[in-house]
Amino acid sequence: MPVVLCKHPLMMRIAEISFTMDELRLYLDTHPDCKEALVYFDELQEQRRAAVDAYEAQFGPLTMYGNVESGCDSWKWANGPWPWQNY
Amino acid sequence: MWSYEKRLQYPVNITTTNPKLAMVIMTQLGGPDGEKGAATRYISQRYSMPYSNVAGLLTDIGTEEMAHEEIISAIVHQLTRNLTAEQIEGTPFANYYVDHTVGVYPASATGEPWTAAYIQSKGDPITDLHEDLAAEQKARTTYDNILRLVKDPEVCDPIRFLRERELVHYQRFGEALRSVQERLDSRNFYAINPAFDK
Repeated sequence: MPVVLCKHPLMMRIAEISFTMDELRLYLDTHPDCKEALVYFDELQEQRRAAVDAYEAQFGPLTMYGNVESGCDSWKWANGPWPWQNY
Repeated sequence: MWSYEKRLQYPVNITTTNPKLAMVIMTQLGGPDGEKGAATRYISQRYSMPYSNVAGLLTDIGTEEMAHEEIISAIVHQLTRNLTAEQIEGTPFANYYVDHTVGVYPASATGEPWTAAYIQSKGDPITDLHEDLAAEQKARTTYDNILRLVKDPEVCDPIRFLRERELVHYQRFGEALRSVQERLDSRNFYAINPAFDK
């Protein structure tokens, strides 16, 4: 069975949180004083950190400046699957 | 500096290849109103944007457009991988195949290579923001044209996501243009280049 990482619940959660943050970032660029959006962005930042940590512990590095390579005996970053590979 | 994440902004999981469709969708990577043009346009325009909030918006939308290049590339890749020459023969993808096999190359639907002549960075905030608003609408029209040709729900889904983003970017660029105008003389918004004429 091929691993389709984009369908894993942890990856879907990261995608959802990150997209909401992408959307809020653009909104805040033009509405910098919206308190409601600022609070929401903070909450999502926390949620994303937890989801990324859980994902990286299971599947290896997601972000370039992550710290999951420390203590490993081989380099994981360049391993697949890459995001366009659904096979 | 940019930071990469090993994920797509929106998932792409296409299980049925379709070379004819790939040739059409490729235009949103390397065509006149595609994502590569969008990313290059906004990232280039930042340097002559004197208002830091608008330079920030250009950075953030330009960054998202790079992620959209990756989504379109993933769609083209998944629509063409493992194709045989027999499956390609007689389709509109055949001419592309001769030059690029099933590699991803930024070209338009008619096979023209991507060119910076598609975009402008004029060094004038008013001019550039009007260019950006027009670019978002042109991309939205192109996605609408593509959606009329796509029947596969696995392809429609990410294309619809990308179409929605054009609407949001248009809204934000409109707000940015308004914020630039608020800093100018309301009796004559369009008489000068606020980045050059002091």
